[in-house]
Amino acid sequence: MKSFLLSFPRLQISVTVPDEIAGDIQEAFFHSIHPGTNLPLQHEYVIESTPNGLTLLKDGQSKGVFASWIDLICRLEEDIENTLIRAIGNWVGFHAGAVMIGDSACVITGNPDTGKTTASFNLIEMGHMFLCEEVCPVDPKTLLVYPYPQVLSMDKVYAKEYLLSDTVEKGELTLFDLDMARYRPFQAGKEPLPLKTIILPAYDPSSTPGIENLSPGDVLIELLGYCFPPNTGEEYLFDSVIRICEESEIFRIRTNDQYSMRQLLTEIFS
Amino acid sequence: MFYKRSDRVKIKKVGNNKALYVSDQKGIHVLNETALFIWEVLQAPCTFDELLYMLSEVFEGGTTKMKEDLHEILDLFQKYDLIETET
Repeated sequence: MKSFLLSFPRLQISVTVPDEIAGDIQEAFFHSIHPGTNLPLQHEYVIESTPNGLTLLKDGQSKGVFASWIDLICRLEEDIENTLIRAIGNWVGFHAGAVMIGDSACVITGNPDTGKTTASFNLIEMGHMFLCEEVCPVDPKTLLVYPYPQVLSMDKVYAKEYLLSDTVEKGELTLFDLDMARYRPFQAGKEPLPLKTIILPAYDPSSTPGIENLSPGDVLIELLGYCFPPNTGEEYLFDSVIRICEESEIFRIRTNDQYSMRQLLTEIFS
Repeated sequence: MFYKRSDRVKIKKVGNNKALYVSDQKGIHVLNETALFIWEVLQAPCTFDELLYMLSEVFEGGTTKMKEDLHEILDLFQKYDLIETET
């Protein structure tokens, strides 16, 4: 068995795994493994190899048995996300990705299947530093975005199309048997960065590509819908997101294919 | 019948807009230009006809459409407990 100490914003956990999947776990949580951390652990995950498959235990309680390591890792990632959302306390947790642009953070948020992950993927491949995937913790007082650099799960069809016309240079893109591809950036930011930009991708094959500059009043209700349930009262969340809206530049990018996505992102950040 | 603001409403500034929030309810409501005008007028209780008159003094448009818009906004204000009525 091998143990990994994983460090996330306001959350430290350990994961103990059988040797045969240690490499897969190490790859999946590459940017969050911090062997030297002295902070107290909040949770202990153990993965055991049994005749029925791989069993996932959290603090001694079973979270399920899984036939393959990829199923188990997806479940483990989901459980860590849910734990993180509770652990961040009075910070705002956006369902979002984030990258570093210059010396500040760009948060990419929106509904499922609008192009959040592909926007993050494109920005990383354009040379920007990876910060967050799925959960993006923001301290509303300091407006700092805290890194949560997990592997990006992407649509396999999109990944295949991308590979037909482009090369992947800033990370490793793996296609799986399911309709899933996973992209692991080689590098990720480790320090919190000030939030500057919020991108709301809107993918529609029939739309005309374009960029829309949004005001705080335009976007407040929509952004609240992309926040995970708060650990604080509703009013604290409203005040926090209002502050985030007022202090950020916010763009909706309407894309109809992968080329328009990259073109518009280049336009915004050139 | 008079329309008046609910005492439980808090006003939040959101950039150049304003939003209304009722403390024991989920949800916040960003006001458009017309809704904000009506909200400002309701600092003192008003009847529908008084509101319609003040609306017509400030905004352009036909009376029928203005009445419809006013009904719609007052209905939404009531639905979200932002205003109350008294006779």
